[in-house]
Amino acid sequence: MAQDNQDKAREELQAQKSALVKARRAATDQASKAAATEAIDRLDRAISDINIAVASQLGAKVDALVADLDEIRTRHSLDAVSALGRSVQKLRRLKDTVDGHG
Amino acid sequence: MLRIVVTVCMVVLSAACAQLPRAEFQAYRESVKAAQTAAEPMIADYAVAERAELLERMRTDSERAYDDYFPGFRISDSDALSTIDMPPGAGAVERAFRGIAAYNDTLAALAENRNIDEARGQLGQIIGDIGGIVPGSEAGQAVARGVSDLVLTVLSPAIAADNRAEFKRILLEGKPKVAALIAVLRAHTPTQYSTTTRLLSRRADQDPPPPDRAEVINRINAWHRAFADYVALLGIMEQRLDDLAQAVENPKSAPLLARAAAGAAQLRAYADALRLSLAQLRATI
Repeated sequence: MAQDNQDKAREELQAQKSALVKARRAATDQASKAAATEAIDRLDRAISDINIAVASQLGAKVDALVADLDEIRTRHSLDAVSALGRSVQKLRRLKDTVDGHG
Repeated sequence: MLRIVVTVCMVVLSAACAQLPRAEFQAYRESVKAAQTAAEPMIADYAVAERAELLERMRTDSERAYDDYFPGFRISDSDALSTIDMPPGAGAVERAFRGIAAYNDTLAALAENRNIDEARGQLGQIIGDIGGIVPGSEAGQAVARGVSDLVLTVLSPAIAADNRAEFKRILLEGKPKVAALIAVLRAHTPTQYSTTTRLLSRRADQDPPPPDRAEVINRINAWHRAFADYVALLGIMEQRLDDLAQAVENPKSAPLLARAAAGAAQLRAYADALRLSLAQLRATI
């Protein structure tokens, strides 16, 4: 289930749960209260199922994006030796260009 | 010789022309710091609530034996029980912030040309080591130091220009990934909120109502405000990243600079509001 749908499903369950909580509060007989409590627990568990499912899917999404970000930031080594090497190469290329025009 | 002078001048000139948008970068870094500072205690509370949710699931799992204790152990039990590692949701949120922080640190290292000082240190170390290995080379060492200083003086502008080019590349290529991470963090807030407030909601819903119901409801409402401020901080973070990317692509844009300054005040207001919400929550625990 896509996350938007999971959020929507959770909201629907929460709305049903709130209605049952209010109905249980208003009920006077123990049988109605017990039935409402059972239904509330079931809804609570269904909400919890969604929370656990969404949380377990989050890691893969985050890790893929962080891996992409790590690849981008470490593609060229930025340490001193590499930066020096790249700069020397650029200067050489510039010098060759100047020689070519000279 | 003339060619070398021309070459170096061209490099220095190109370096001078392409300045980094420091105000926008500073504004972006502050926005990330504010969001991360706000997120840390929220992640800690989310982790506690998530473990409780997972543990309850384990206890009520009809496929598992449980009689006040578990006779068997599953590897997945670690998510609910380990206090060394984070549970899946909280751990992922934390990793997202860590990934963004590592990206920002790389950008900061490039903006501050830290590798030039590193190069100076490494060359000095090499010259020192040679002095230790080759006896009587003091005179040679002095010459080597002079040459190394000269090399670095000449090459520093080139390294700085390379750093600016890398800054721009990393920023622009990484921006969609950071924006996606911010979107993932934002999209996760309904779940994070639901898990964080689950036990409080359950208490508020009890029948008959518990004596501290009003206090419990105040805490749920405080969490609601805290999450609203957290989402606002994530939005500011995204906006500052956009501003920075625009400033890199269109340098010296005065309206952007003005917006960065105005944004800093807005950011402080959101961060203060969130700190207050979280402090109120902690005061009522």
